[in-house]
Amino acid sequence: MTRVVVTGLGVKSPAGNTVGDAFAAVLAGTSSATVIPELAGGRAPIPIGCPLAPFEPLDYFTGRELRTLDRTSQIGLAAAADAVADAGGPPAGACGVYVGTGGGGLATLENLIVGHTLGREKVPVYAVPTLMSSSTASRIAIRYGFRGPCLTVNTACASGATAIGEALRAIRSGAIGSAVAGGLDALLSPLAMHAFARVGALSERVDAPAEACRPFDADRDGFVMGEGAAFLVLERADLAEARGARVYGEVSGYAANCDADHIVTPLKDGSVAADCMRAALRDAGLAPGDVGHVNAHGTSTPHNDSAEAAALHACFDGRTPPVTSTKGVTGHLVGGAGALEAVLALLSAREGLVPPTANFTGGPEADLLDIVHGKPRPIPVAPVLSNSFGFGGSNACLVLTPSPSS
Amino acid sequence: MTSLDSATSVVRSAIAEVLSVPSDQVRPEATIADHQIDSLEWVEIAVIIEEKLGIQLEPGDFAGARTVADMAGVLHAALATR
Repeated sequence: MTRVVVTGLGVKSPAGNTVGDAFAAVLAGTSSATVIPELAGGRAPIPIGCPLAPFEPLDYFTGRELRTLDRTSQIGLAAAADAVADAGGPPAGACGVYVGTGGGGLATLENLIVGHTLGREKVPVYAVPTLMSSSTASRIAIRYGFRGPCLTVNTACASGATAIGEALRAIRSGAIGSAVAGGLDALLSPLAMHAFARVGALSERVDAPAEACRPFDADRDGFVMGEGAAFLVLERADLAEARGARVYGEVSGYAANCDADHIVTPLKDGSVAADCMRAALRDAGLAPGDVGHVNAHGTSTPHNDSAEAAALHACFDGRTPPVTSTKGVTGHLVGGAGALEAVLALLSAREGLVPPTANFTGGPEADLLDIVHGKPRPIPVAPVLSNSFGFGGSNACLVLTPSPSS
Repeated sequence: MTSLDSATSVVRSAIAEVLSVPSDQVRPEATIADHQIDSLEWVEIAVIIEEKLGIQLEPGDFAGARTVADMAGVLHAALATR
């Protein structure tokens, strides 16, 4: 089997805008959730979220470029640029771009419709180039001249993991030698937040934002919206070695499937998600006992976390390795979630240190799982399973195998 | 009627807005090729001019213009005939 290695990482997230900052923040285990001024004062029923850490677009773009980019593309393109720079040179071979997004240009469309309807502004020349959900993928390709496939995938909240997994398959197939793969979303807008609140997905703990996202905890009541992006540079191992690239580890396994059951609620017994986890481990050539820890989807919704606990319990036959959900710190980045968690999971696996699940104190899921909480847990360096599940029943599981850190 | 100076000023500020630079950095004698203005930026320039002066120009109307001053000449002539 062709090995595919990770040679570059880039993040723009509520936990920090460098990989080091984000990893340190999840190890510290403190939620980044807060009241969002733009959503307060009745503009959205749930005014809390995890905003991007302070970000200066002019560090990445000229004023001329900035006029043509919406916030989603700015964040995504900046994270991808960090990953490419971190890879220490152009990725080897024909390079593809694989981007996962759940919301695409939704927040931009919302602003445009409001402005246009109220007669405040004309339709900008850059409306289509910013609204098309493939915009960021194309911007990445244009910036670097990557002429491999340029794909945007949407599996809702699993999109980032799906993009990485599909890039892995494309490299294994021989179609491309490398890829920039990841995900993004920036949905802290009044309409998007109203819509997620309507389906009952958001935590209503608005008076205590930092306690709102509490994955697997008995008192959890919903997820907290986050915004951000993460990208990885993936290269065929022999090509990366030939150019002397620094290697973080491998994306060693991937599987995707669908509950085919309900448009927002996961299958209660987690059986299809468990199949997805098993298939990802098989794809990596690993047995359940080889896995050192799990970075769970762990959204903090009552339904997700109970179904995921059941799925993990089944996949690992009752012997689940330590489980964490970094969403307790970062919030839920929707299309960015699976990509950010792939980055954090690989770093955790490489450092042998599992971040605590913020705000977890106990609950029925702890009877099934060993949920890391309170402080980071040292573990042996070993492969990690990173789960991502999306509305509509989309499941995507990645296995990342670390290289020893030098 | 808009003077040639006024037309020049409008063209310079439209280009400057698209390039995100101060107007005084868009010199009348500068060649348009220097700025590598792409097709969407041409549309934006036409839209900005329309918003300021109420005259509808197509990006193609500037096809023969080599310099910023040439563009101002095109605009001035168009304003004179409306």
